[in-house]
Amino acid sequence: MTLNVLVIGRGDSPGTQVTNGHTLEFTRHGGVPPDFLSLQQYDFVFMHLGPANPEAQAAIATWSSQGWGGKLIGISGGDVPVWSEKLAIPTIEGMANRQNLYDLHWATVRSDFGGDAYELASLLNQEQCEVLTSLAILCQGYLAVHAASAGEAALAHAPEEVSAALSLMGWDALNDKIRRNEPEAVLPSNLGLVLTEVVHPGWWLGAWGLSGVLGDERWAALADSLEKECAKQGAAEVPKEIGDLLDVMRPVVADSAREFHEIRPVTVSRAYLAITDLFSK
Amino acid sequence: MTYISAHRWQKRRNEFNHDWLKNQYIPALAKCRNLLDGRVEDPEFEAVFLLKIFPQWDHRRATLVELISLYEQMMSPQTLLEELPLSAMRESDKRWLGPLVHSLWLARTPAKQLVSSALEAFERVNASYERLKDSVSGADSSAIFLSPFREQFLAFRDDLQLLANAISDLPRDIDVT
Repeated sequence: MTLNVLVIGRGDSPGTQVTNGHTLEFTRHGGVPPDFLSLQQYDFVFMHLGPANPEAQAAIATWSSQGWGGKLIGISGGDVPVWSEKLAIPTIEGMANRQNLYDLHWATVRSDFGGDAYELASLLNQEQCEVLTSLAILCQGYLAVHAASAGEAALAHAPEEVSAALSLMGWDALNDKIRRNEPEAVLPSNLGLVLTEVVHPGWWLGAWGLSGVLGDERWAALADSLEKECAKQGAAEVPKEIGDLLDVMRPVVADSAREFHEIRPVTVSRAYLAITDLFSK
Repeated sequence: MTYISAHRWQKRRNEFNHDWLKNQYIPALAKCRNLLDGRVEDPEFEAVFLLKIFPQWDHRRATLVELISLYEQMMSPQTLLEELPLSAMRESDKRWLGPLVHSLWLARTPAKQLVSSALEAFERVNASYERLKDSVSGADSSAIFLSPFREQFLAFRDDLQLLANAISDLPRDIDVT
């Protein structure tokens, strides 16, 4: 059963579906005291806590007395006002407009979500995905180095995944700008020279501060974080393409000087495409 | 954890755009319209508007220019190389990867255009403000709510609203992919 959510204080709009089938409905005001809106038909209600909705404080008190307090989440365009700290409802800051609400992490809220308002706010207002984000940045670095050293002629025959990843990360657009001599479009001059480094798993592990030695507990922590971040993005498990890239760099023997398999452009491209897919949900 | 650089910029944006511009300054200008149209009377507001409210733009505009100018620097994915987990990376790698990630970001997103639009909106507001300021200089507080200034007030208020929208259009998350 998907959630039916009412947002008060961010304009009027009929129900719009977000990821996982949840519905957001918008209305400007919570009503006029003592006849505030009925919250009966809604699973959760996001109430704007700001001067544009002066009815908020009294409305929340009334709804709480009617047994609907557990449905309430306070939102604010800037910081949540000090007076709202006494309300004992979860809050989400930075919701300046309707788009901000659509952009919340609805992918993390399963269609059969059965938690309370605090759990919902926590899922929607979650922490950043540090590992996935950093992996995306490393993929961009690797692929740019690969492209710079391969040259345009070779890239014309690159596997489809490599072309797609390069295009998505902005490589084609950047090179178009460079050809047009746009001033901000520049590439580091030594890119092709670091190819031997970025194909080595040690470059990736070193970027995360990992040693590459079997038994490094930080590797396990990183893999665990990655799994949680993928779940937050709505994936039941770490996508295979991302797992394949991590497998190549996974420490397997208690010797950091062991021979590694070179990391291939196709492996990185597939992982990058999987990350962009996760972030687009 | 929130990314530090992005969080700082977002907080400054919220303080300016949400807390001051949208919830204090624009509503005050909206009240001016009601006074100009004779829909309400508020002698106390009229007395303080010219002295205390209207000139707030003078004090705030430098903050806004700085805020818009810092967007590219503080919301670039390049900033993530200075935060965990990538802060452990060798400095020699950061020197090429940082500018690369920044250039790719500028190439694939409308970051530059959004900043330009915000700066253009700022220039329009500033021009409207200066025109209105020139017009009302020398006028006493209550005289400015007479009809000759009505169009300039409305233009100023409309330009402020467009500015608020342009600032809101700047993304609130670092766009990595």
